[in-house]
Amino acid sequence: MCTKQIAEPAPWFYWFLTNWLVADPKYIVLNQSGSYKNYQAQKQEGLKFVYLVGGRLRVVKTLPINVFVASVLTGLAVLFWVFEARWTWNHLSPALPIVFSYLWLITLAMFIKAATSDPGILPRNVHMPYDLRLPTNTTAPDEYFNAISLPYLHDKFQGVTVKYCSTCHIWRPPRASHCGVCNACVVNHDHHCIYINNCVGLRNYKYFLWFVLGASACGIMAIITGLIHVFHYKTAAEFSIHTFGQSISSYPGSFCLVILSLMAIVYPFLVLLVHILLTCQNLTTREYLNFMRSNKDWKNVFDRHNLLKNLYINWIGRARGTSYLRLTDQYDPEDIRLQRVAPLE
Amino acid sequence: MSVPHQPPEIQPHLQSEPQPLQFFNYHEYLVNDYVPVSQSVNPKHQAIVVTNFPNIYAALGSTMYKHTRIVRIPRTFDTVDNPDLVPQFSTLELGKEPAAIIKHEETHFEVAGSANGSAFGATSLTVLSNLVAPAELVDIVSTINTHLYAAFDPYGYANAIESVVDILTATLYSKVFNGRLHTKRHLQKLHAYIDHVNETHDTFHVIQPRLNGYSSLDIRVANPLG
Repeated sequence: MCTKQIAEPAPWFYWFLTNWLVADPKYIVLNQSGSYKNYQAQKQEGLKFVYLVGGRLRVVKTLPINVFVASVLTGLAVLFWVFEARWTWNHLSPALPIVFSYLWLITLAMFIKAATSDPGILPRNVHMPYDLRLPTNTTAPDEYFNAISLPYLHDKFQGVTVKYCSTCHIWRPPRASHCGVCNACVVNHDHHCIYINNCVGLRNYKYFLWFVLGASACGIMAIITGLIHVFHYKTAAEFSIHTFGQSISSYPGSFCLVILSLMAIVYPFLVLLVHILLTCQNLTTREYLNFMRSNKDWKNVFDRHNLLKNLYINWIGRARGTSYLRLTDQYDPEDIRLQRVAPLE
Repeated sequence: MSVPHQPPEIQPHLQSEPQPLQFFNYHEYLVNDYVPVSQSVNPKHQAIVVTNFPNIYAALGSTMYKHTRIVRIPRTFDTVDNPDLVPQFSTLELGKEPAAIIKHEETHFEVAGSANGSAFGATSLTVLSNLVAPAELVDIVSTINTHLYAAFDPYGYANAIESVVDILTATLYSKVFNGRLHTKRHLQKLHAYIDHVNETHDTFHVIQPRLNGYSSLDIRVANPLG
């Protein structure tokens, strides 16, 4: 981190803003106490995280498309509450707006969890093959550049692949991968999602799936109630509405909601279909794109060959676990996991 | 300089049909450029196997860094379902894995040469074989594996119910009961078990696996070079 070159520690409200509320490890100011937390002290090259609320949440420093996604999600819900809620409560059932609101709340919570939580980032520099005090030893042993195949419980011939990441200096477990955008190795890396501005990996895949499902469900619910509202004149007698044109001019909000929801739901619904197909085989997006599409002989060894088991593991069973690098711990300047070490050649 | 460590199964000209993969400790590697322990050992004909590593958990250059090394027990993927979700460490005898470099009569670590601040042998046997009985080490690793399985197994009832409740309460459940979640409670038990092992043994010290993301089980030992 570069601490600003100022003569004395900054006043509390200044460091509260830059060190705690929105902390970019590159722009941390000098603390009153002189001590830092792990999230404030990440020195690796090309690190793109900004930490919020004392290191508890994170965002990646790229175009903030996640803000746009959150706005669309909230905006359509507001449209529903303003134009549809009262009408559906009175004319259809009070359950409808309640269920919609509940679904929306869950979707928002899943979005926040998927977008701001740790996807399962592995700590760096834990498998150094050489002594860091010897400056000439920056080459790794040749063995560390091979992809190692190890026997797997249900497949002793193709097995699983273990690779050494020369940027993070760690032997990655199978299915872990180095994300170029976040510049970190993520366990069970699925993909880097620009719409939530975070990687999707072991620890937040479940939340990502439920977010996409919830967003599709909310969208479908909004469309259906909007359409019922707009076409209600056909099923029940209303004083002044006898044509479709009159209906949408009486209820412009509902019609607007239908059109906007239709537009907004297209992408999440497609993503949902893709991920349902992937989770039915217990396959990550990365494995599908890198191996399955290009190599007919490649076998997905992690497929449990049982539809319910595959779906269960990904949608419900996967434990959130714990983070590996505790960001809110006190920073130890000797902690090699947070130091900058040149990639191995 | 190092020579690639080639497990037998990837030499295609020796195969007539596909051979099953064999496990070995992928952290180790061969080194040809070393100071031999005696004149009779010829570096040109016999490589040494690096089986212990710098102690990255100690401050660089400190006394602890110079006088201790780390022996790494790798992760294994052929013992439980879902090894990508449940970390499990190898319970095979360390240094005698199927594709390890072995001398059949050898039961104790013998120094063959020194390089890069530590001493190594000519086989995959680690210095840990001199400090703890293999059966006891296997017992410790098995207990650690059991704790990890209890914590991370996706099929357990507690895990499933917590997941469902967490989704239904819009993640409020996991925010309120953060420290008492099933996985965290079992990982705390694992933490306590490893602390207990470290208190009852003084020849080695097991590093908490959470520190390296459960990618290997690191054990701190005294530097065989002194």
